[in-house]
Amino acid sequence: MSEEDQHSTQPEIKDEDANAPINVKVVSSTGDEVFFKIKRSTKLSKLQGAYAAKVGKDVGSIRFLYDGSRISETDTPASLDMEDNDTIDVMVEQVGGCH
Amino acid sequence: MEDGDRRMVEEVGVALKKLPWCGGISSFPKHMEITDLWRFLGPRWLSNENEDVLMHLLRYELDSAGCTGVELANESGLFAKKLIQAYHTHKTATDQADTYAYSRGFQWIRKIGHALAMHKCRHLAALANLTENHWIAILVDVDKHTIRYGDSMGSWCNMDAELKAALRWWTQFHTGYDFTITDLPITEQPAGDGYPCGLLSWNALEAYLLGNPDLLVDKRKLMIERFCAFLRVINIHNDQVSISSVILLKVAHLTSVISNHQ
Repeated sequence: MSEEDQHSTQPEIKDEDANAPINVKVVSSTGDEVFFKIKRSTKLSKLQGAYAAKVGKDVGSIRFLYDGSRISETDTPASLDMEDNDTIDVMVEQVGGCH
Repeated sequence: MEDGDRRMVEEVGVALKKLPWCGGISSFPKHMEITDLWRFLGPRWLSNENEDVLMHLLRYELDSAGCTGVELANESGLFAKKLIQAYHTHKTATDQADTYAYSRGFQWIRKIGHALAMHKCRHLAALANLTENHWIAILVDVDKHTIRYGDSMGSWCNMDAELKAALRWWTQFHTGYDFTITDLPITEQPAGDGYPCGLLSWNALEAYLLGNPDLLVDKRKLMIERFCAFLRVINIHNDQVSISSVILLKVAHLTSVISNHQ
């Protein structure tokens, strides 16, 4: 392969890596874990919907957090710089008044 | 009802007439919706969304008062639960990558602990709800090596044992000091009133961090204090909306001047 050919194939390899699926662990506040494999360019809202369906809850009643901050509808693993085997925390709505 | 209280109720009525039916609270994070504020306007349990709003209000107050060095835990309720998870992981993890010191899942808590250890902040304030029905306040004072616990229904002696152990371990892990646990001054929840712990826990943090015990609410006026909190949030929202409107008007005026000139 000529040097020129090698250069021309490099961007394709990068694109493939950028879109390679990563494993993501979703952890509830009780420590229960659910694992997902997701492409780095896929919106995390898709994962959120799948998680909510799996645990039988309305997706609107669950908070999804990465690195301590709320995940927005448009976030993707790539936009959050997520790595393979990263963790997403989930919390259901809490209320409080008395014991 | 006193005149001041009557005026506040009237102000709430006026504010409600002006508010849109939906949308975010201006100057607050995007996910905070105006409709979530309904719980402030009656005897209702406050949710973590409401506590988040109050913590952002506290951030405004601290900034306005020039109080620096205070870390407010985002996402009410998460910090304490994550800390307890970290504590258990620390005790049981066999794979080094899963331990508190290395796991990326605990990175954001480690950052807070590191900031405390490096004295980048002097206080960490958080609201917790471990039993899913009761809010309490936690305040870590790194200068005094003290963890303050505010519970409107009891003292630190009744503190959740796991939370106590996790906080002591975490502060020791990052600072190298053994922290003592003591009470955070807080208004006592009146017997028979099962609603105000969310407001009182936040108010305890507010009074302590602003250094003004007089800010602790009067337990005979809890409903008025709910209205007061609602109005403070709405006033920030309205101020921001007004500023945005003035800017839009000025932009429209400039655009018309430029187009006329051309």
